[in-house]
Amino acid sequence: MLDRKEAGKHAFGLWLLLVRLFAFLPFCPLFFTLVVLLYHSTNGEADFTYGPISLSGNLQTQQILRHPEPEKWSIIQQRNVIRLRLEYDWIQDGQAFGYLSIPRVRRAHLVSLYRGSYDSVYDFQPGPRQEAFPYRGRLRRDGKLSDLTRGAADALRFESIFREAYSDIEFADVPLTLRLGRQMVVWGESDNLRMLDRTNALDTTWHSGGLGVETWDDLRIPYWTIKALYSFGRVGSLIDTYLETYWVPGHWVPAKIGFLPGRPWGVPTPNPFVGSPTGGNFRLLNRTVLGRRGDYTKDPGENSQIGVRIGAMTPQGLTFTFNYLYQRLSQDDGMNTTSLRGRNQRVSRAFGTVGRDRNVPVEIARANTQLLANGILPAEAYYPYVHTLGVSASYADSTYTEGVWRMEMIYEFGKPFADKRKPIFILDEHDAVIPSGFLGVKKSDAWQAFIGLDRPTWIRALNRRTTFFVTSQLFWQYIPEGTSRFQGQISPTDKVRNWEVVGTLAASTVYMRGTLLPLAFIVIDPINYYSSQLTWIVDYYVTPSLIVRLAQSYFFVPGFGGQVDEGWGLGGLYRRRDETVLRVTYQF
Amino acid sequence: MVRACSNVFLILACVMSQSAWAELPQAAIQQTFYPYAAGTPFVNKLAPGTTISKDSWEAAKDYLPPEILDKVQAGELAFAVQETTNLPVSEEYIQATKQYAGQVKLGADGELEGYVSGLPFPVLNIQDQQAGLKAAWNLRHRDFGDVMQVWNTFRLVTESGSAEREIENYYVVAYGMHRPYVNGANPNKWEHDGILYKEFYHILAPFDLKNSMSIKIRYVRDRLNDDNWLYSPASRKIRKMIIKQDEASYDSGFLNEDFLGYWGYVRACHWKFLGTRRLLAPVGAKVSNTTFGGRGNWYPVDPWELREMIVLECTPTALGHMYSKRALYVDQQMFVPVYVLFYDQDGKHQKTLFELYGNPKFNPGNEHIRVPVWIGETMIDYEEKLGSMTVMAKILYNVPLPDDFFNLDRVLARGQ
Repeated sequence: MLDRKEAGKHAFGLWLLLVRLFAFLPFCPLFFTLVVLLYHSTNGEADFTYGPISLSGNLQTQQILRHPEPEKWSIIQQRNVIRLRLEYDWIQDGQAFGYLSIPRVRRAHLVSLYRGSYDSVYDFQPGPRQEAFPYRGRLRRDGKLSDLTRGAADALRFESIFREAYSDIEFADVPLTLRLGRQMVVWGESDNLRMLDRTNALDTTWHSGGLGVETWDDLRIPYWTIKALYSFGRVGSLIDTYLETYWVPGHWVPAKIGFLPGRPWGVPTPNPFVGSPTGGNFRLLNRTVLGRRGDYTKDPGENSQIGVRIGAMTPQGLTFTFNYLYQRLSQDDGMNTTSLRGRNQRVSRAFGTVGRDRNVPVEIARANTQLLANGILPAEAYYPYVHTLGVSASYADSTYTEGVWRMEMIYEFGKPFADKRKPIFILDEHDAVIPSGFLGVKKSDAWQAFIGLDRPTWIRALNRRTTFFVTSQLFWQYIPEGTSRFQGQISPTDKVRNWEVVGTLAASTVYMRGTLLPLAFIVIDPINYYSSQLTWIVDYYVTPSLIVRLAQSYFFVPGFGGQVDEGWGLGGLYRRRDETVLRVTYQF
Repeated sequence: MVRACSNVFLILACVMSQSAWAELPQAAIQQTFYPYAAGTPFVNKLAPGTTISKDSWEAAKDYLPPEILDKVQAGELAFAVQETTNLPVSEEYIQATKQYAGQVKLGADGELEGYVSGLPFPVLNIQDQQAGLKAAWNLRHRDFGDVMQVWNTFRLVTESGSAEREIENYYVVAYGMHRPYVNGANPNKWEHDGILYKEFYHILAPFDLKNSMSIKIRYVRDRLNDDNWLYSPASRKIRKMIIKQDEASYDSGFLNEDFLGYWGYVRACHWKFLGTRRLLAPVGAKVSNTTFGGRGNWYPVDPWELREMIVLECTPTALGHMYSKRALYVDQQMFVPVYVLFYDQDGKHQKTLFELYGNPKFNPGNEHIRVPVWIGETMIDYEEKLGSMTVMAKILYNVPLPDDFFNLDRVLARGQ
């Protein structure tokens, strides 16, 4: 039996070893085997607890089958994942590692979450050719996995990353908790709506085909962040008042995008940058990269993100927060903003005019054309800072509706929209000025909000022991600017509307003594032809450690067969992405 | 004139009645808390060391409810008998009872009036129409200490003995009202908000539920519903919830209101006091962790002992409730239910719950504690053939927690 001091030393050493191991360990099946053996060598506890240190995690394999038509099924994902979570109370009661006195710190807790994945689909590279939006039969089939070069497949096959690695530090004399390290910050009240939950951008290369298949925990990109939470306790009549703030000092990256055919589960479009006359892909201006970085350096001076919120509860039971965020726009909130800003090239001579486009400087068009010839698009990845003010609240009404009402809204200042009045011109082969398709940007404010109701509801005919948890949300957004000049991002016909509305309805319950957990939900966009997603998910616990999931998602536009330009990822964008998911998880 | 006289008579009667309550005999209260002061119960055929099993159940037939005796006869359960253990609650609680019980009464709305601390109604009279309701209030205000912290594993166990689900928990309940002063210190920090107690629940394993947390606030006024918040690591948000008391917790054998014998609202039942009995019960086990055995390993098989018990019937008021009634067998000395029988809507015995309180002397770290020391629980659902069991790893009583322990922002700070 180790004493506490010894256990502390050992635990710290083990943690360092694991950090080093995972940082350099190539991801290999042997590692799975080791972990499984390690599990079976123990006495069957649900996780490993060794003094102040605990290790837990899971092994998961997931197959996604796509079936755009009932008789057409193809496997598009076979992903094997290991997650390891290490937690370590490295300061307890002011003592670090059991022997080193740290005054004024009550407790410090280290959390480290490793995720390694192996997408074996890149090994057997199944067909058929993948369909891209707007799904016009053979004309819009854009590559298949076997088109990938070996190098490209190798680059996509593995992931090995410490998703999170942070320490909570709880002070003894002040009601302050710091969280330092790579982490996620999740605010707001909504489910899967990106309003106040926008600190961490999404990695859509993990999955972007509709809601529900993956948790947002796996999609969010963690950042190196300093977060502080200060408790004020009771302030006047307000209860549990607190202030929380964070600073991402430079490491921030925008939403990550993966294209067809390499990411069949990513956005339904082929890589738009292919075909550079210089070979390879086109580049963007100012060495910016779409989904990676804009025209800034990744340092605290140019790329810091901050947020602050105050939260409390009123004596009547209303919990609320007031929020302010100053962040770069990560382009993953569903709004039809642009992350590609067309830029005309500067010319030193006097402008000329040509034809009907009297105001178009042909020299600029020529410079833009020259740029294209050099393999650079006359546009840059654009992630401007946006001020966001927000409020969230929830209230349990157990008398009338017997439910919990939730709301959240934000007002953002200066979001970038592609502006049809700011075309970027180039010259065609006859030296005539033509639009390039790229547009400049005009900024507009935007208002997004939702109201939702959660209600445990008895449907005894279906389940006599447990209620159905029914949760609904109505989301809307409003752009106060005239939007007729804005160009949507889905296609050239995509309109940016002043108002957009989306509704969600979900129900879940528990059967078979907690071993069968069904969930179903529907998402409807009434503005865009009632474009919808319907998903059901069933988790079955074969044993407490072995979980099988079967899920299906259907994307449809009822009664309409034409192209639907919508950015929510429902029946318009993912019309031919009906999918069945089979997932097996072994947890320890 | 007759009416005026009648009113005067009523007032006099009321005054006399108040006076009678105010002069609750201290001896009767003493007897409630020390029922074994004059000697432990002794029954010839149930002497310590006697085994009660399917082959030797006759001696216990008058000392077990028929529903439990049936299980013994069927061979589902066997246990030895031990000498009755004296398990008084804290002296401060007993003194508070003696000091304040005389002023406690039921209001027109069924709520307590004049209650300060201690057991509200230490002496129950079967002739009293409200004795059942009074006993329910006694349950609400039983002595659980100021703070109880528990590390345990909740298991759903099939008849074969294998666990279908297994959840490791850290659970805390802390009282903030109506606790007696200890050494002159007032432990009632939530009086201002009318909060009787707060609960914190933290799942430690398995991985898919790890770090789920919840906070519950139970208000002192029974007409007020609980406030509940749930932190889900999947969403990383804390969310206000409405929890139905009459639904099965995670589809286990427990309804949310079943925990600890009865953990629901007083108003959720019509209460009936059925009297007192001397019965065998799994109380005072000399272990810190209940030993389970018998059919499915569902039953507590540490030695049982003869206890003075109060029998209380709870008929749910909610329409469509799973139970037609519960029979709570409440230990008189500690005023905790030690077993509860549940009957379905057809009146058939459906489940049995055992709440297990051990002998503190055998509970490391709690040797000198004078509260009911919890060592486990098991709900046996005969219809589902399922045992829902709480297996203890560690329990701590009256260890002070930081003032902000239950704050919502603390849950946010702990959230991962």
